[in-house]
Amino acid sequence: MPPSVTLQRARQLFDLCNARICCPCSTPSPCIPFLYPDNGCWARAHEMCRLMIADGAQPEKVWIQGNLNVNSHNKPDCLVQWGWHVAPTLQVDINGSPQTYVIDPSLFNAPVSQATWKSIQGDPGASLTPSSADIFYLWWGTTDPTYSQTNADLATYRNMLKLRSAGSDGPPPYTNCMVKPGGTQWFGLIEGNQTQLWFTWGWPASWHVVWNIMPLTPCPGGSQLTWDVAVERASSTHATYWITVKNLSADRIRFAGRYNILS
Amino acid sequence: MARTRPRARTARGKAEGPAIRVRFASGADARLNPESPRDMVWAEVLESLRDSRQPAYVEIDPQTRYITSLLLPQRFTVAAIREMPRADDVEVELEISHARHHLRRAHPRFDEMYTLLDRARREKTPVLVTESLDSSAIVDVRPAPSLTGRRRT
Repeated sequence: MPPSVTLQRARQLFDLCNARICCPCSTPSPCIPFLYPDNGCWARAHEMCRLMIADGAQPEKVWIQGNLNVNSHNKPDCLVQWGWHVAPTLQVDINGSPQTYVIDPSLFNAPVSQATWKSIQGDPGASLTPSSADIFYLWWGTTDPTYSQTNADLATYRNMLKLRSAGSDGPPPYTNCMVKPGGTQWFGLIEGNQTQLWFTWGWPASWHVVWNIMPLTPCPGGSQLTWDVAVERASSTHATYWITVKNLSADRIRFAGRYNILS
Repeated sequence: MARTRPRARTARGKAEGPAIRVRFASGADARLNPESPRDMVWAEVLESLRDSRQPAYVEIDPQTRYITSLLLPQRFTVAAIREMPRADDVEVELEISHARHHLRRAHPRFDEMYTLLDRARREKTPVLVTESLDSSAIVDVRPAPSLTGRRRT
């Protein structure tokens, strides 16, 4: 068993992998298509292990097999169905004893215990099989020491993500799969390098309302959106806000129009 | 409709309106609209497939020659085919893939594709399988060509 790391170190390694997330519309190589959960986990896991090993860590892998059903807002129909799945693992020191934690940015925003990872995959009877990091595909016992197959498979799923994002579904996340959080007035989609106007009416003029536009489509590396707010006193008691959103990037972006009432 | 490998991307057409012309290894020609953001993404994907010598699945409007659908065939072996009682599809287990793949009985080419998949399973030969983008519904199955000269092994 490899030596344990702290939870802080596990989070650092998670962030190392997650920082490689693909912008879904441009998917520049060598990004990892975490936002295409449908398929390709074995290549994502192998690439994540490579990154962690290069950073001095000693990951392993865990393979789950069963009738897996996972809710995901990164697939247009909100449900991912798998026969198996794989992700890297780390031994994490929890109160002096090692516990297996899973690094899986396609499902979580942080390292999670192996039990938590299994529990969200919809099959309590699913079986878990650990393996060393060098196993590329468990059931054939194959390895990919040069990462040539890993890179070819990642390229395929980057293209899948790109095609989906350019199509009628647009880029993830898919807001039909999401519950609108409090303080969110609307979800929007704006094309690359475009400027678009939205309005929202019936706001009491006595309220002090501030507006914020938050990209929902991850794309690290540069600013994505900017916005301006104009207001119209539509009646003696109510206001209409006109919100102009500008996409600074070449990629389609889904976003949330948020508000806060300060008084 | 053609499943074919893109060979080259040429300059915009002149007399026929804006177009990126695509020539496939099969000899088929098609067009993309450079004013369409979607088509520009498709052009990038086709270039990527050309560079990696991967096949493309395209549907082409016979009148305009514009590409109306672009999907990515993948090379798989067929591990199992499961009849789903009272379901409108059969489940196909492909390797390497962790997704659940479905062949719809309502598909007009169901019998042909089922036969190809079942033969590939029995003979342990690879097939090129194409699925829709929004689900794991199989839309095309073909015998996989030889890997000679290809990057994937």
